[in-house]
Amino acid sequence: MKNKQESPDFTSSIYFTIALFIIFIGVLLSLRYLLDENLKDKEYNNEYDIITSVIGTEFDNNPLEEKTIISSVDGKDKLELYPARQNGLVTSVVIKVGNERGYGGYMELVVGFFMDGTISRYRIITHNETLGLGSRITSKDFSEQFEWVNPERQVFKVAKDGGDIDAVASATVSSRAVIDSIRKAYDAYKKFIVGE
Amino acid sequence: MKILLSAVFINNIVLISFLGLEGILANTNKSRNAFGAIVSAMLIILLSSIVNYLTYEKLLLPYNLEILTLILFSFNILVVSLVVSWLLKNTVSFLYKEVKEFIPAASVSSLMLGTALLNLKKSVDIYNYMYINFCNALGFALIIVLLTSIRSRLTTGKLPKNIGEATLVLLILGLISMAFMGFMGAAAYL
Amino acid sequence: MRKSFFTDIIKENPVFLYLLGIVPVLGTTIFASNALIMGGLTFFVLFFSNILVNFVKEHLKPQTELFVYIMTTALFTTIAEVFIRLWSMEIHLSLGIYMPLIIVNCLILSELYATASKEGMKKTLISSLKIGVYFIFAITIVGVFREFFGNGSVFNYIIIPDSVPKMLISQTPAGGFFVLAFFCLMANSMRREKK
Repeated sequence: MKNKQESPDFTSSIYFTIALFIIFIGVLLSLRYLLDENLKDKEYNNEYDIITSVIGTEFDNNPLEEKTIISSVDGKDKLELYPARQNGLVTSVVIKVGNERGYGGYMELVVGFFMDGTISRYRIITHNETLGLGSRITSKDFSEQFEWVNPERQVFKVAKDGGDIDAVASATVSSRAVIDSIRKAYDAYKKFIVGE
Repeated sequence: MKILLSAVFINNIVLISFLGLEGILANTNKSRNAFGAIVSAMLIILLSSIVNYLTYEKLLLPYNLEILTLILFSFNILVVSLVVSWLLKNTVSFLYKEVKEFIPAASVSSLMLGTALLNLKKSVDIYNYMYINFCNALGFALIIVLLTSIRSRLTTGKLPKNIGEATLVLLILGLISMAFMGFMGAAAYL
Repeated sequence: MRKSFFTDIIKENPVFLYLLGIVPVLGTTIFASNALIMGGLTFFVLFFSNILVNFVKEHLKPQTELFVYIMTTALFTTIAEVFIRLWSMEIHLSLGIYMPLIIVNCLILSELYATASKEGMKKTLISSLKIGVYFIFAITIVGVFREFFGNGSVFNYIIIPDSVPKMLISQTPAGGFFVLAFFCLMANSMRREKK
C-alpha cells in the first residue's frame, strides 16, 4: 500500500515542473498572439473615448493621430498635446498631464482647453488616492466647478487657500493636486502657444 | 526621505492597500513569529526587486511580452525565496533556524507581488525601485510590531467570550488605520 | 438541510473564521458590484486551478508543489485579466492591483494544498464549488454593507437620498476593517451558540 502511493523521485518532479512552466508560457504567448489585435483596438478606442470626451467644440479630425509632445514650464516634464480641428483649423486642444503631488502619489488626467485657455472639461485617467475619500475627486460635483473656468481670470485655488474652488470634503490634498495638474497643463499650453 | 516617510506613515502598504494581510493571525501572536516574518519579508523583497526589475526592463518591455509579467514575477519570487533560504543556511545558520519556517509563507504573501507590481510605474531606475520596495517592507514591519505588542498586552486582560482572535485583530487594525489617517495632512508638507 | 446552508455560509466561512484571502475582501469592496466581479474572478481561478492541479497531483513533491500551484493560478489569473481588459477597461482599472493578486490568494492556495493535491476528482470539484460560493458570499456581503453605509446605495441603486449625510468612514480602509470585524464576530458567536 505504501509503495503504491509513493510519488516519483525528486528529479523527475523537477523536470515535470519545468515542463509545465514552459507549457504555461506557451499557452500565454499563443493567447497574446490571438488577442493582440483586439486588445490594441480596445485600448486605442478607450484612449480615443477619453480624449474626445473632454473636447468642448466640434471637430472632424482624429486628435490621437496628431499627438505632439510639449514640455512643461520648468522643462522637467513632457506633456502630450492633442489638437482638435474643424475644417483644418484648430478649435481646441487636449493636454494629458501627470502629477506626483496627490495624496497617493501619481495621478494622470486629461484637460480640454478652448483656444483662449478656458477649460472645457477634464477627466482623471488614473489616480492612487485613498478609496472613498480622495477618490471622490472623480465625482461630478467637484469636476463641474472647472467647466468654463479660465485659470487666469479666477483665483484658481482651493477655498482653504483663498481661492474660488470648493475642495472635496476632507480631501484637500487630492483637490489641490487636481488644481496643480490643471495649472501645469495650462501653463505648458500658454508657453506652447507663445512659442509657436 | 520623502519616500520613506510617505511609505511608512502616510501610504502604509498594509493599512491603505491591505497587502501582506495573509499570515497576520499567525505572524502576530508571538514576538518570535513576528521577527521571522519581518526578516524573511525584507530579505525576499530586497533580492526579488532586483530580479523583477531586470526581468521587466530587459526582457518583457523590449520584446513586448507584458502578458508574461504575472507568471514570471511570481516565479522569480519563488526562486528568490529558495536562494535566500540556501544563502542563510550556508552563512548565518543561527538566523536560518529562526526564520526557515517563514520563508515559504513570505514568498506567497501578497506583499511581494503587490509591491513589485505597484511600484513598477512609480520608479525611475533600479535603485529607486529597490528603495521604494524596501520602504514598503518597513511599513509592513511597523504594523506587525505594533500589532504583536498590542496583542501580547491583551492576553493579560479579560475579553468578551464571543470575540475571537480574528475579530480582535481586525478591530485593532481598524483602530491603527484610523490613527494613521491622522498623518494624512502631512502629505502636503513633504 | 436548506436552513443549515444559510447559517453555514457565515458560520463555516473560512474568510470570517481564519481570515483567509482577506486582501480582496478589504480592497475591492467599496462598491458591491466590484466586489461581486472580484468574487466571480476568484471563483473562476479557484475552480480551474483545482481541476488542473488535481490532474497532475501524482507528479508533485513537497519541494516543487508550491511552484506548480503558483504557476497554475498565475496562468488562470492572466487569462482572466486579459478577458476583463477585453470586456471593459473601466472594471480593469477599478480592480487595480487586486486583480493580479488572485495568484497569491490564501484561500485558493490552501484549497489546492489541502484538497486538490490529495483527494479524488469528485471531492475536489464539490469542495472547490463550496469554497468558491462561500467566498463570493463573503466578499459581496461586505461590499453591500460598505456601499450602503458609505454611499447610500446597493449595487449602484440609490436607496438613501444624497441629502442625508453618510457614514464616510465605512468607505475608508478603517471602515473595511470594522465591517469585516463585525462579520467575524457574528460567525464566532454563531459557532459558540451551537456548542
